[in-house]
Amino acid sequence: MKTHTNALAMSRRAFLRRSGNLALGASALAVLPTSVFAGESQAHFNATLLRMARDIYPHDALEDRYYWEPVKGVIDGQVELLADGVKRLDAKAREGHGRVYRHIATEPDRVRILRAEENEAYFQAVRTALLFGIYNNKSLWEPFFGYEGSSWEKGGYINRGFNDLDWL
Amino acid sequence: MAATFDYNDDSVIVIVGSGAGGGTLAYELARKGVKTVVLEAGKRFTMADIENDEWAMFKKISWLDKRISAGPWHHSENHPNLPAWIVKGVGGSTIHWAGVALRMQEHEFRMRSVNGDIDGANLLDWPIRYDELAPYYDRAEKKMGVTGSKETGLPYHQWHNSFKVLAEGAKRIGYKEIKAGPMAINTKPYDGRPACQQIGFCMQGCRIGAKWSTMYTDIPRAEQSGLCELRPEAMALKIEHNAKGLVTGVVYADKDGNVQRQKARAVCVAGNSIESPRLLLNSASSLFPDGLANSSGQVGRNYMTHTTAGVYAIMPKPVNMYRGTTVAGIVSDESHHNPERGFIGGYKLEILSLGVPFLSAFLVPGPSGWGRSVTSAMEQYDHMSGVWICGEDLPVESNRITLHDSETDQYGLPVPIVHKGDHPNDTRMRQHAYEQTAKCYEAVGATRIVNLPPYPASHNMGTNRMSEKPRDGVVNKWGRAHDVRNLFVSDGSQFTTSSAENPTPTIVALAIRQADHIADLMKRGEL
Repeated sequence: MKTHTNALAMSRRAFLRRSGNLALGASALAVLPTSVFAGESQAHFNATLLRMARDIYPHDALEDRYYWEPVKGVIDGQVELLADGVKRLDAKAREGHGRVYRHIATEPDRVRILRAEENEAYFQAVRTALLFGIYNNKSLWEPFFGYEGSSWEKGGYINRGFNDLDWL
Repeated sequence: MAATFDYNDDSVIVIVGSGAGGGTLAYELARKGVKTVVLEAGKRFTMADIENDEWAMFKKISWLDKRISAGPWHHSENHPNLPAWIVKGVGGSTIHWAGVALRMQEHEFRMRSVNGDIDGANLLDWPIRYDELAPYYDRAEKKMGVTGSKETGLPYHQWHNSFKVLAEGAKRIGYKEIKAGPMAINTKPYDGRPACQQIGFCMQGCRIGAKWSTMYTDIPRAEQSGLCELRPEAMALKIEHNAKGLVTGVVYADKDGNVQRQKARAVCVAGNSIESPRLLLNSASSLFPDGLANSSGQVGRNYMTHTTAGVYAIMPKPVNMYRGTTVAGIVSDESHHNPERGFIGGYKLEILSLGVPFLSAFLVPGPSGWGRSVTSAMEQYDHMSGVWICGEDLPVESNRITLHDSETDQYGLPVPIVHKGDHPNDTRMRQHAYEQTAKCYEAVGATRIVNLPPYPASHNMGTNRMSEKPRDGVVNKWGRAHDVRNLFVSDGSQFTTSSAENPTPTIVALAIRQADHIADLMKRGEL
């Protein structure tokens, strides 16, 4: 029997490699009431949430848009909750590191702040949105995780590699 | 031609629930010429409703009515409203079960005699023995189409990739009892249903019907007999009784939300181990102040879920564990009586594959399940093999189902509180099982082992347990209530102890036997 190989296995992470900066097109953003942000800009709000999202489920090779789409969904419904959360994060970051959360250079330092916040409602709203937005995102299943998904319509896996393991 | 019975027809037996217990009972009674009305809280699903999609099916068929997790188990923090993962639908949890078809072992019916009293546990022998149940296990295996059984001649499944990994590791550490079954999943066409195609979404419903489920076997057959009327979206609210303490009927909410009363000559409760005791407790009256049939105080108590846990091992090369049956791989060496290990009872190691969506949620369940330790594991998804540990947990009186004193659900019924905590024996067993599973996987080169806490309980037992003496339990050896001659329990809540084996075949065997007994009682004019 021919071994079923995932043709993309070698390069699946490469084709999703993110471009570099946390750059978000203006069209991707909702226009939010500026009164929500006491002195801070909307750009800072967005960038903070993206940084937080990428710290919650760090997949270095995954483009920003896979994080931003789920986060945007939470902003659309609960912007004040999140704005308050961003304020909390920045307050803790200033206290411990003299700078806002998203400018803390090392991941472990940022994660330590997030751990202390993980039971807050704003944190769980973002985490839950990402849990479904990334791991229940069918467009990522095979290329990013190697998970082929629904199979009954293809006759199952009985002829598509259910027992092709040959390295033992 | 499906039957319909009048609400006032008190010659029918009313069965609450249509799963392994209620569905089997309805058909086996129909074969004996006995009329039944089956009240199923959930909807009727078709094969077309079954999708290979974990969250879509979770939302579609799971029992999601409000429940509260309480007690020391981590569910109180991480799964506060999902103590158990069971089904609300015609077919009950046989829609989503994995198909493991093990018989209980002979000594597991006698754990109190074998081990004596255990401090902190409410250990009791079953009032039946393996030998009495053996012919019914034979009939259950024939009904369900169990692999490796002389009743069917169905061969075991071929080993899928994930089981190849575990099996080789198990062999290398000296284990010998390594089998791809027994499973109630066809490996050849059987009973009008096709052979398994290794679809890999067993726990989302078998799209082709290769796995046994009452949804497409016993229930339609019962209906086709003309002796069984199944009413879906019928939520039982209360069982009524007369001044003599005999049940007279079941009050329920129908699919339009109207309250109906179906009279009955007898009632058989098979709503799984949270709803069944809940119904009896909600049926309290001046004659039964602590709940119907609850003179022992044991209704709702002795709640068991098996001693369980998950383990995922990351291997150095791809495994693709999602390709193929969710389980169909069992290592049984630790399931026997061997107290030298430091605990009584045994456990099985069963392959369990989860898809990316479920694994991301259950690898580290709850609010703290995030960060690089989670994502680094998820990025190795296609290199994983995983195990579900399934062992005997001890009956403990304080592990129980109770009713919230103020909060009610959409039917106006008090919300159930599901309280559980480990007995020290359970903890020691689980620790041993984690260690042994790690040894298996390390023997084949695992680079990382992730231990998971127990999942929301898919095995729920013990809350209306069988006992010899009325003071120790709720029902007798036939599942007939000690206190109420025409009330029966027909699901896993009858279990006196949990054993090391998955419960469904025992539930089915007991239901076939109970049907014989009920028909016999009716013939003798005793029911």
